[in-house]
Amino acid sequence: MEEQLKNISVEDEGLIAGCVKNDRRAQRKLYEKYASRFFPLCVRYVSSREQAKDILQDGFITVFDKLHTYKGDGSFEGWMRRIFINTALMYIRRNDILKHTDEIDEVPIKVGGYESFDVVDSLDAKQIMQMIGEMPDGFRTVFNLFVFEGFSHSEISKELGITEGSSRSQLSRGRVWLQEKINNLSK
Amino acid sequence: MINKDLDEILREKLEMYSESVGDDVWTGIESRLNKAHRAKIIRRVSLSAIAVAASLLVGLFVFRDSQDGSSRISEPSSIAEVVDQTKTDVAGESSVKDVISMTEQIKNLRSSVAMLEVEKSKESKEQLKGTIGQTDNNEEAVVAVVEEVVEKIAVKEQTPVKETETVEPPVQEQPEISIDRYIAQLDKEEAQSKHSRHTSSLAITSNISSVASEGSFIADFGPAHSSSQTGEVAGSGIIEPVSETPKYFVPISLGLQFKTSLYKNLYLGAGVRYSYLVTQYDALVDKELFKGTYNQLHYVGIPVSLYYNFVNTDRLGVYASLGGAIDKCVSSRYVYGSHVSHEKVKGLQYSVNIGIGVEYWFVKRFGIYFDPSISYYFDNSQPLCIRTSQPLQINAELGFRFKI
Repeated sequence: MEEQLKNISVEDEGLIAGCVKNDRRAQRKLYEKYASRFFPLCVRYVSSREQAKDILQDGFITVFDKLHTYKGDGSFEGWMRRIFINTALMYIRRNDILKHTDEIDEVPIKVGGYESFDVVDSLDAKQIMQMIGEMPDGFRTVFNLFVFEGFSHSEISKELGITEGSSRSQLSRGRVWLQEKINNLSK
Repeated sequence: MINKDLDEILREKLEMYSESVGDDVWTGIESRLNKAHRAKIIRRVSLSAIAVAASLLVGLFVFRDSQDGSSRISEPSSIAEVVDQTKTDVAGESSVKDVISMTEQIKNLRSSVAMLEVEKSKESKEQLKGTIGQTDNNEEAVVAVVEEVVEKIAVKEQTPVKETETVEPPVQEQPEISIDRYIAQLDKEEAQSKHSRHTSSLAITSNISSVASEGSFIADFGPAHSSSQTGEVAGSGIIEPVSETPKYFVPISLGLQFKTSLYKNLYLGAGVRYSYLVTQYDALVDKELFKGTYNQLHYVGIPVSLYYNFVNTDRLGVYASLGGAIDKCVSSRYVYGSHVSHEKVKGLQYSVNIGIGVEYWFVKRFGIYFDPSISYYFDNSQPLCIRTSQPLQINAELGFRFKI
C-alpha cells in the first residue's frame, strides 16, 4: 500500500495498510468504523438479527481476507458494500432461503396503490427496516437487489439462479406487499 | 405515486441509516482471524517441512552419489600407480640413490593410505585392501631391501646415513605403522565412531491402523469420544449420523520423517504425515435419511517421537519409541445419495503413542523398518471416525530409511 490510493481517505488508507499486515488493532478500528453502516444492509436480507450478525461476521472476514486486492479503483465503501451483498446472497443460497420462491410466483397479484404520499414520507428508517424484514424471503431479496443495490433483472436472475421473469414477478409482488403494509399503517 | 418515486424515498431514508452492533460480532471475527492465522502458520510449517525433506532427499541421491564416485576413482588409482613403480624398481639392481627414491615412494604410499583415513569410506577401504593385497609381499620386500642397504651404508659411511635419516622425518613419525595396521586401525576407529556418524536419517513412512471388531479388546478399551457428529455443510445444512454401528475403513497414513541422534542411542524423529479415514453410516441430512452416507476425512499432522535403540549394529536396529502428534483435518467430504458436500472441521486432534521397532539396513545408507505401536487419540471434538470411536489404536508403520 505504498502508493496513495485514489478514492480513499487518509484514515482509511492507514487502516487498510494495517489490516493487510494483519494488525488486529487496525482491523478492530475498521470494524468499529463500518460495522454500524453495514449491519442494516445485512438486516435487510434476512428475517432475524442473529442471521444478520452471521452475515456481518462472514462479510468482515472476507473483507480482511481480500483487502490486499483492493487497488483503490472505486470507492472503498462501495468495494466493501459489494462484499457484504455477495456474502448475504451466499448466506441465502447456502441456507436455501429462496427454496419456495417459485411457489410464491403462482400467487396472483392484487393490484393496488398508495393511499397517501404523506404516509410513505412520514415513515422513519426503522419502520422501513422493520417492514422489509417482515417481507417474504423471495420478495425481500429481489426488492433489496433492485431498489437498494440497483441491480437489473438480468443481474438478479444470474445472482439468484432464477429467470428474469421470476425476478420481475417477485419485485411486483414485493411492491404490492409493501403498499398494503404502508396503507395499513395509515388507517 | 409511481414506483420510481417510492424507490427514491426508501433509498434516501435508508442511505445514512446505521445501527449499532454488539461486541459479540467482533469477538467472533477476532476468534476466526486468530484461527485462520494459526492455520496459516501450520500450513506454512508443513509445506516448509515437506520442501526441506524433499530437498534433502533429492540432495541425497544427486550430490552424494557424485561425491562418492569421484573419490573412489582418484585415490586407489594413485596408490596403484605408486605400487607399480615400486615393483619395477625392486626387480632391478638398485643404487643407494634409487633406494632413497624407493623409500620416498613408500612414504608416498603411506601418505596415500593416510589420506584414505580421512575419507574413511568402507568401500574405498575394500578397494584399497584388494589393491594392496596383491602388492603386500612386494612392499615388505622393498622395506627389507631399504633397511639392508641403509644398514650397509651406515657401517661404511657414517655421514650419509645421518643425511638419509634426516631426509626421512615423515617415515620416523610413523615408523611402525604398516598398511595392514592402518586398515585395522580404520576398522577400530570406524567401530568407535559408529554413533557419531550417519546418525541422521530420512524416512518414507506408511501406516495402517487397526479397526477393532465389536466386543474386542481395543473396541472395549475406554468409552468412545463425543465427536462433533453434526456440522454445517455448505449447501446441505446439517448432517447427523444416526447409525448405531457405523462402518469404519482401515485408516491409512503416509509421511516423511527426519530422525537424528540426540545422545548415543537416543534419537529424535519428526516429520509430516497425511492420514485418510473413511466412515460409513446412515445419516440425517436436513431431516431426510440417507443410508450408507460416506464421510471421508483428510488429516495432515506433525508427529514427533523419541527413540531408544537397544540394538544398534551396522545392519540391525531394535528400539522403543514414545511420542505424540498433532493432526489437523484439512478436508471433510460427505457423499450421500447423489450429493457431495464438504464440512469445515475446527480444532486439532492430539494423540500420544508408544511402540517398538526394528530396522534393517540392506546397504550402508538404505534400509527398511517396521514400527508397531499403540496410539491414543484424545477427545478433541473431531468428526465421527475410527479415532473418536476407538481412541486406542494399534498401528503398523512400515517404511524406508535413508541415512544422510
